[in-house]
Amino acid sequence: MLRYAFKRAVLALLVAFTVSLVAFFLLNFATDPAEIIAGEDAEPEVVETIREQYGFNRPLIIQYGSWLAGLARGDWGESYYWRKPVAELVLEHAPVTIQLALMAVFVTLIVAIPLAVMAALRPNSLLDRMALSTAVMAQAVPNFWLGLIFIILFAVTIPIFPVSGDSSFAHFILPSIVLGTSSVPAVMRLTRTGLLEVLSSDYIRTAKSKGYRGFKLLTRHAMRNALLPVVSVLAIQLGHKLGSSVVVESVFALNGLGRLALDSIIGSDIPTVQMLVFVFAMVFVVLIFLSDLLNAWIDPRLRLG
Amino acid sequence: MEKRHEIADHSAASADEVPEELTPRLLMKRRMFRHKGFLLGTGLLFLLVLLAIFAPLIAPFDPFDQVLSRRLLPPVWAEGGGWEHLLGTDHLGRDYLSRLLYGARMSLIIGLGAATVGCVIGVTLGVCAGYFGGRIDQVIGYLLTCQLALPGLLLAMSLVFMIGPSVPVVISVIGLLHWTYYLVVTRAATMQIKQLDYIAAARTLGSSHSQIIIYEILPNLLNQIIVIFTLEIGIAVLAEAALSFLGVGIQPPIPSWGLMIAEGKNAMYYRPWLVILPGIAIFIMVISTNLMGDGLRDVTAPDNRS
Amino acid sequence: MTSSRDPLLIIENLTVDIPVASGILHAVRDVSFTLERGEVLGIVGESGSGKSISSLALMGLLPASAKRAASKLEFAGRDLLAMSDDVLAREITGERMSMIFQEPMTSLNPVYTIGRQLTEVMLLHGKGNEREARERALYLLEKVGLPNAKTRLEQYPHQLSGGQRQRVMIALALMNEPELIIADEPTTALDVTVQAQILRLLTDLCDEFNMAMILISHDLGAISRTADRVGVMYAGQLVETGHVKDVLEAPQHPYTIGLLSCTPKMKDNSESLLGTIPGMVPSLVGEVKGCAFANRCAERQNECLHRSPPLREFAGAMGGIRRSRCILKPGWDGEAKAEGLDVAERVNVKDITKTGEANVLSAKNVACHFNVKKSLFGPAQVLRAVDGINLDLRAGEILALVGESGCGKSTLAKLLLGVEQPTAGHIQLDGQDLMATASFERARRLQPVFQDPYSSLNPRKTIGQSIGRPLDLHKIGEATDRRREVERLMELVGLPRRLYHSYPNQISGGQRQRVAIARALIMKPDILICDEPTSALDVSVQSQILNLLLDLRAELGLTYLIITHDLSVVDYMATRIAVMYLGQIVEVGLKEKLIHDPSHPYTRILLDSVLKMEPGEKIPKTEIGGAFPNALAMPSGCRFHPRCPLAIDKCRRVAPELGTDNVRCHLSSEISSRTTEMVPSVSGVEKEVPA
Repeated sequence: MLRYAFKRAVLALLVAFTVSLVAFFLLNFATDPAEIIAGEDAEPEVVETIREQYGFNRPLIIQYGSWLAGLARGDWGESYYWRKPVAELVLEHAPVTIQLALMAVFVTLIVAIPLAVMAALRPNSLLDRMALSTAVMAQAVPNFWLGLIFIILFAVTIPIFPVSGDSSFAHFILPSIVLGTSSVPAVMRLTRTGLLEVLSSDYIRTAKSKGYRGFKLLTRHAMRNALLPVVSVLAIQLGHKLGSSVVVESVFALNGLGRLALDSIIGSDIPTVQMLVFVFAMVFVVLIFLSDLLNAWIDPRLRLG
Repeated sequence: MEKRHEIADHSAASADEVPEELTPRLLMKRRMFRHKGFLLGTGLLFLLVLLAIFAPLIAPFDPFDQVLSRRLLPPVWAEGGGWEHLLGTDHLGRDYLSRLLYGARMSLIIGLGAATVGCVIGVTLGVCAGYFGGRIDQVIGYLLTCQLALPGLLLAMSLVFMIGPSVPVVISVIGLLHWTYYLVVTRAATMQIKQLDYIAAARTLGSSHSQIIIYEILPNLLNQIIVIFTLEIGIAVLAEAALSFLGVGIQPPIPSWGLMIAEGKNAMYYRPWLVILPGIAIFIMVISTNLMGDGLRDVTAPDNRS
Repeated sequence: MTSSRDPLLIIENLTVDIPVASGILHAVRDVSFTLERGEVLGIVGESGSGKSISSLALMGLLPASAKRAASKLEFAGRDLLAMSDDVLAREITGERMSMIFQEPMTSLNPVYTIGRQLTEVMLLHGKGNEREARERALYLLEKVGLPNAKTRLEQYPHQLSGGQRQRVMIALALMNEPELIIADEPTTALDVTVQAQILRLLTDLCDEFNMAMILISHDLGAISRTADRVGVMYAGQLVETGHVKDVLEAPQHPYTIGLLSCTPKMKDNSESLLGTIPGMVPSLVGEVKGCAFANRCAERQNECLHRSPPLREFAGAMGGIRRSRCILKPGWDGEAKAEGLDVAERVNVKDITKTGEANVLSAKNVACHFNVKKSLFGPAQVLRAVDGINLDLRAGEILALVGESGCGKSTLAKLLLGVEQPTAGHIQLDGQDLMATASFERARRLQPVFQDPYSSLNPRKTIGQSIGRPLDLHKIGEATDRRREVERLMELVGLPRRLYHSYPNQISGGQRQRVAIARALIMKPDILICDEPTSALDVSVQSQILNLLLDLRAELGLTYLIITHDLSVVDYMATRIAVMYLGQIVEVGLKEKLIHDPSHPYTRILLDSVLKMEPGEKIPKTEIGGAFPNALAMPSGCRFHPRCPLAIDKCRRVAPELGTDNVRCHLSSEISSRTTEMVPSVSGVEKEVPA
């Protein structure tokens, strides 16, 4: 188990490193930070001075090295746009996004899992077909649009939830429903397929021949096996929730990391964008690492194999 | 082995008696015409494609024409609406129906383009990883993990905005970030096919790797690739809409559904149709590709099993 | 064995219908039988005969869409028809009636320990508490021959081999001391040596606990050694039932007669050709008219096509009632017919053996080692799949390469075909290095026929395209010539020309194998390497393919290397035999010598494990110990010593070489001297000159 965990951790670190490299090069190739800092109508000499000052004239690989070295020291760089340390910015905005993502995953779970289990127990039943067609439809709804529809509905017609801002818990309810429903179809389909596959396996036939039926069969023999893919997909979904919260944050005027990212992009604030990409990737990598560990705990073949 | 084939064997035996009738293609066609979701999806998509192609002929107005005196007219069924502008006008007095029709063009171009870019990248990597295995597979698997770890939307936003938002840039960026699905599926399928005896037979006949991939493997992946391609069109359409909505995708005055929602947002409390209509358009486009893709998967799946 | 009380199980007119895409599949049609307490009933039949479905119907394990009907279904005095599925599950299945399945690798839940899976079945039915269940599990694990039972309880299924898992499955079935065990092909997925042991174990346990057993198998040999009574199933019906000796020695139904004549029997020096059953099983979808066997039956009368045959009852010679579902009256000259099929002369095996002197293909010290890496960072382990093989294939012979799964025989086949590169040694084709020969050149000399007819053809290409592909690839001839050549070969292998535009999923397994043979032959090669060419086929189809291979060899003068685990096929086909164990050849010799006077202990055990058809005979106890070892952890000294009943101290330390007598054993001289005393008639067998 320890060896497995160690190997996974090394892989996670490697991925984080590669991602930071890719993000750095993509963003720095695409733009000239000196021009951005200097502003649109700046004299060429000014741009040149800034280039000297910030070290943008050095080869990219050196710049990357110094960025990485800064990262190791805990120095996340300085935002051009906000004129503030990036670390401070990220810490300021993180709580909103974390709360949003956790609540959204909660919404996904309580809707998707029970639906999937009911659908898998009675494949091709009315409930199953209804759940599947709802999933198909839900997948086709753009979530920013759903957010706007909610705002129209709840701001004007049924004003029970606040629709803008992040000052109270109630402010998070609509955004997390919007963000949460967007991954219901994927999680539901996966759980359903996984459970159906398990239910048609040879070892379930063995369990049935032992005399297991119905709910007991599910809890004693099928659930644990079917959980494996669900754990992974939940980790991936939670990671993506964080990364795609930008849309929902923008619709509901939540001041989280997504909002920060959007403003930084429009302000061409490369240090902030770069660090956000890296932070999101790190969080994703850590989530995957945790789900790997959880799966190893569930499945002895991973643990002992 | 034996038991597994028990039921299948009967169908094989029965098929033998009437071989002329039941080619795989015919069977698939028969299943297609019985699959309601597939028929509905394909029909809708076909209609959308027609509307997009013939937009210049159908659209009552030029989508770029601003008539400031006729701003924010409601659609025909709402109070104050008129037959001249069936779906009303936007905040600059442009005909909303015409803009929606031209928006379909944009969505389809970006959907098809991005799905193609992703397909080329994903299938190439997937087939290579599955066929050659070993180190190549490990490297490609590693690439996949990295790609999954990258916050796609955020990266797309920054790249499109910083490179300069134009249609080709949007297509390439969305395509570059949406190839993982192709990779995962084609890799698994190729690995499975590679084990089969007909690949070994082809090798003993002296076929080269590329001959095996082209003649023996790709034809067997085609169904699955088409299914993913269809589904990816919908995903790309949604991605473009989100980018344009956030202001880092298609730029005004080009008609794009996502952008139209963003533009209508300011007036949404008293002119909700400005937001609702383009959303419905996106929904129809995406659901038609999803229905078609899911349908294709259902229709072709039994074929893969035998 | 049987008691005077009521029968344990009474089944009358059982039918199972399963809706499928093209209609309703009548999987089981009108099956009736009774089973006494303690009796073993063997059910034989080919795939699709409905033998598994009928047992699943009994256990309530049918797919939800299937419909079961019967006029009577009684188990131990209880009416199963009136019982709901829940009551059946609670009171009967797992407690009084249990089942052993075919696939030991997948039938245990991978995420729970063996201990939990064993004890839960007792706890579920309230037959004891945790401690009692554990004790029973320990007792049974010992009983089924799994040493270290205590540690086994804590292990997970993936830590056990297939044979061990099947033993766990047997222990599982016995946990609640059931009155009936249904064993569905319990040994089909296992190796020959393990197969005999497991069957022996099952029958011994039945005797010991006075359990009844329904043993479902396609293997007539296994049935003949285990069953008291036997039922033959065809197309969803029981066509013949009776005492095992009656049915197998004096068959009445034409299908039973055909089935018996198709089965290679390993009789001494038999030179006759195997019988075949022409045609194929009819579709059971929709209405089945008349006798289902009529289209393949040699005794068919006009009436058979329209009317269902009567179920005739008559007394068997060995006692009890016999039944045959056939228009023919009992006592017709069925037996004579069965003998009559044996007269055809097999091709002149001996002539070719004598001419087979020139080596066409030879392996010299060939090894193929793989580096197995479990992860990106883990240490590489060496898997020695093939390790120092010397083997010659002589022009015109049929060399059979025999071994259990994992011994490296398929890797050797790939090496000989040039698909895989040897890591040491070299392979010569007519004295030239195989790897140096151009791949196109090689393709015209050597062609393969593979095991699985379902995977040997590209599902996207028509039969004509598949057979003609080699010509396209090598750019031979014009399109019309190619077409003509493909049709000539289709005729040669017995494929109707109308299949030219068909796809593989439209034809049967046997026909696919014919397509694969045609594709292999279109380049006019002189050597065919057949890797388990019939092991995925039913026995009636197997005999067709084996006979086809023999015919083609006589007609085209081909040389065969046949790789197989099935010794009866080896005995039927081979002129010379090589036995492989853990990457090495342990014995090579002419068939007569090797089959009747084996020198290597492993060869002897392999031969002893073969269940020849001898109704009423017990299964011999084989002396082989341990499980098939892991090729990643080779034993020291002789690779066979951990399982060898004769192993001495030297075997543990010194690895034996393949000696001049072509046997890799320290004790070979002693063994052969011992057997020559016992079987003096074969002592004069020619000594082979080592290559």
